[in-house]
Amino acid sequence: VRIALLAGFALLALALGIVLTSDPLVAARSSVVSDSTEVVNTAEPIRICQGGELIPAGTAAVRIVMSIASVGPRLGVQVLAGGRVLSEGSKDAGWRGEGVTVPIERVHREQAHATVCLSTGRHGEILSVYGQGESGARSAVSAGHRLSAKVKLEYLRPSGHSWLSALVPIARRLGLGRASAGTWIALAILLGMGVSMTLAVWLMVRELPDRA
Amino acid sequence: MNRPRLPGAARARLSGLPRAALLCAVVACLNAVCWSIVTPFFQVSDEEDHFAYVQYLAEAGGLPRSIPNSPYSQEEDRALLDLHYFALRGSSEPHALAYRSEQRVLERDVGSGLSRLGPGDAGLANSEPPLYYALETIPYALGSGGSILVRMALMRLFSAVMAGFTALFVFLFLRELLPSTRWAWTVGGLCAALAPLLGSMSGAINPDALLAAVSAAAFYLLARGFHRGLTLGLSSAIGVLLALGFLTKLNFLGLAPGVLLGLLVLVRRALRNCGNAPYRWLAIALLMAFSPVLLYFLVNVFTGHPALGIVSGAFHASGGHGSLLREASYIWQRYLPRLPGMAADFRGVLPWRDVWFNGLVGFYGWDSIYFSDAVDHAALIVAAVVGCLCLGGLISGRTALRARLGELAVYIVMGGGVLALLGADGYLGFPGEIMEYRAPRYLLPMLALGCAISALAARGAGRRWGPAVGALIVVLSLAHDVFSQLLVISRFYG
Repeated sequence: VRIALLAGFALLALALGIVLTSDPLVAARSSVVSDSTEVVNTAEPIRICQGGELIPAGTAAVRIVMSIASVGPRLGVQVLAGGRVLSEGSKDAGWRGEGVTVPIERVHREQAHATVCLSTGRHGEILSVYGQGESGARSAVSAGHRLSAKVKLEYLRPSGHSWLSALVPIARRLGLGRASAGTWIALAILLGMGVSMTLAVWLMVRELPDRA
Repeated sequence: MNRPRLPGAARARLSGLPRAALLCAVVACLNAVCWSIVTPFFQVSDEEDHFAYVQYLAEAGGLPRSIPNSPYSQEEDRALLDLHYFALRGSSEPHALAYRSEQRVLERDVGSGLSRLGPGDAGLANSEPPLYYALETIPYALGSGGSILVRMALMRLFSAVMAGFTALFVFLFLRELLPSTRWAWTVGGLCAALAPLLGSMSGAINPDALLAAVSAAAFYLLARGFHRGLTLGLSSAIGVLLALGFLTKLNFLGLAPGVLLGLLVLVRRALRNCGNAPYRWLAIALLMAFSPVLLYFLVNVFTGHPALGIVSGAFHASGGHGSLLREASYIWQRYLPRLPGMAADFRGVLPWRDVWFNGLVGFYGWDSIYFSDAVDHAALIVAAVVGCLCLGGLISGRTALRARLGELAVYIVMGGGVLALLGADGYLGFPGEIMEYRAPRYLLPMLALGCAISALAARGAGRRWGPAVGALIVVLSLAHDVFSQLLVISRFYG
């Protein structure tokens, strides 16, 4: 039991280390500013392509503002440049909320005049995609028809600063929005987690025999 | 100075509890307290409605009622604005408060003596029974000298105590279920205590916190009956528990048929040894169980409302929506793979995986904070291993299992009842909304069964490896909890 606990906690510490030293994704650029226009509203699978996009170097995910009544379908994103697929990625069905982040293969160099295509799998509900009104050649295209708007696509890339380096500002923000505001709130959470973890380990060492 | 002492009976009961059970309860409580701090106010499903219910009950002394387009109290409305509730809800982008200046505005506004009495509408919570809300008026009253932020913090802490009771009852359930495997009780108890779903819901103002505790107690009492036999005390306790469940949340209606079936099976067994007395015990239990429902029915009839309140509406809506077979097909597909001949109700979605399994892996806040696909895929592998170990354990203990098939059937009916109720309610909104009532928190009443699977999986690993596998399962639960809290922190404060 002790060996299992040691191995388990070593793996947990390793996973925590990997997560905390990784960089959070931040928005590097957005195709349009606003997401107040409903670009598409349909219960059918869609494929929307948007040309003239500038993809920032390091882009590793694309965030799209879209909504559905209950369960989102599978999403696919393709970045095309010069007639070839530069990067692509997908998000499994089951997402909820209003902003969906689709991870894609990292785009190493900045790419101008790219076309980004968003496609959805089958779904039985009304799906809405949001963006900004836009006329002419810069607007999005769906099933051969030019739409009168652009989808808001946010290009996300690693911030260059790890979660670890952001701990102090995060702790400061954790302390706001409460009756007794202060950074001590973060310490209280750490203490609570630490005590419950210690109790759980002590209990396992005490109650679980080495052999049943 | 004399220290206050617990009454003799209560002290004896507490001292009769295993220390491990009490420690599991403490761990669950602490975990829920951490969740209550990590999640910003109003950023758990429907917390604004549940708070409004408690506030109206405490300030006006009455139950809320539906008033279309009605605001909350001035105090709550102002807090919602200052805490960026509308911007944060459902969206994946903006953060909670980030500057001291925003905190100063919040403190100034909530301390400015705004009215605490709203028109009396509590949104989605209007139709819920009052027990949880009545209990929450205690911390509300204790914090009445402070701002809404103080009262909400106290109310969340009160919910966190309920998580302790849930873990305690899960432990006791496993003690009755697996009496010969003492160490497995701790494995299951700790899995419950560290379950992030329990922590996040019990760290918020939400009747699911009490429903989880009542449901775990129902599993415990029935398991005790199956293990030790029915007595007058136990049948009365089951009756009281049913009454508490009916008064806690409408979702308890899903669990109730299984509990009643369990009671009937226990009465039938008791008849062999106790003459006709079990019939009297059953009558007492049923009277206790249904007295609140009867009272509710009579009040509605005499005040000219539908006899069963909102439940009456559900029956009408369900009746006009398609055949029973069609509804059964829909409910089946909500949880299990579609069978040949069934209409495809969930095109492009595998509900058991995309909705329920991934939901249990992690859907927090307004169900818009979730892990990446890679985490869901890895979790599926882990769950498959745990499932195989559990199955192995059941097969190796098949002789004992055969003798307890009746008990197993009761637990299956209890779980199936919860799923069927969610499915039937979801069918009311179908096909406009294909999957209403899809939040993983609706599965919390079945937490005891989930923890039993973990404990059985550990036992299924055999005498040599069982405890070590149990320890690994608990560490996995702990890791799940830690990363879930980090996920929520990264969303709101990152």
